[in-house]
Amino acid sequence: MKLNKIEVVTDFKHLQIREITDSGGYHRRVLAPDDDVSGEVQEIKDKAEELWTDEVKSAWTTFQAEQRAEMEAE
Amino acid sequence: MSGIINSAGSKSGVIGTTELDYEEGTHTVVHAQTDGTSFAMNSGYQTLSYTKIGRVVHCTGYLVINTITGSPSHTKFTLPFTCASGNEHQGSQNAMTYGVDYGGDGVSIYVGPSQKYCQCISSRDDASYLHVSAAAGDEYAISITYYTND
Repeated sequence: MKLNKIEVVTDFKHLQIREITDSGGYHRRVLAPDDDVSGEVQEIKDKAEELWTDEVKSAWTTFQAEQRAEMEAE
Repeated sequence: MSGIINSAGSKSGVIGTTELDYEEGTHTVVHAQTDGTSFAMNSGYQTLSYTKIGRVVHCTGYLVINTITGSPSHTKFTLPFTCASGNEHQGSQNAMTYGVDYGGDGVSIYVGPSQKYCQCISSRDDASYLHVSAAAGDEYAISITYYTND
């Protein structure tokens, strides 16, 4: 698959990735600040390095914990 | 409505007088566990098809869990787009299941705000819902609609 587009969404700087498959169709996936991007292409690594600051990562971790607590409490 | 949806590129186009972003594609599902566990999907049953019109995403597919690592307390599958933030964008829909052990009255697929995954929830009459634990061989027919960002 070939990288086609990187979209940055949410306050937590999720990277929405669009790729072109071998058959010419679109393939989508999302990377969050706690995801490992070591196996990604350089453009994605650079974007993650630029946007996923310690502040963003911390905010994402906190949000995830709040969501889990909310789900467990109900 | 009538109009043109381009056949090339992103398939963005115009329907009537409204410019809409229209896109079709696939998403390869992997686990999105957050409890330190993981699972592997059956490679023949790990693809969701999606259609995105404007901010609305609709996904369908048949998913099968192949192997489990650890003792999962829940089941979370990745999605092609992040759900938009805000409680008004949360949503859930029922799923048909096969071989899934749940304690409630059925299984729903729930998408929470700002999340890139959906999770399997079992509702109960007049009681709190239950998280559905992942197990090898679990099968889900999924059809879900939710709002994403721009």
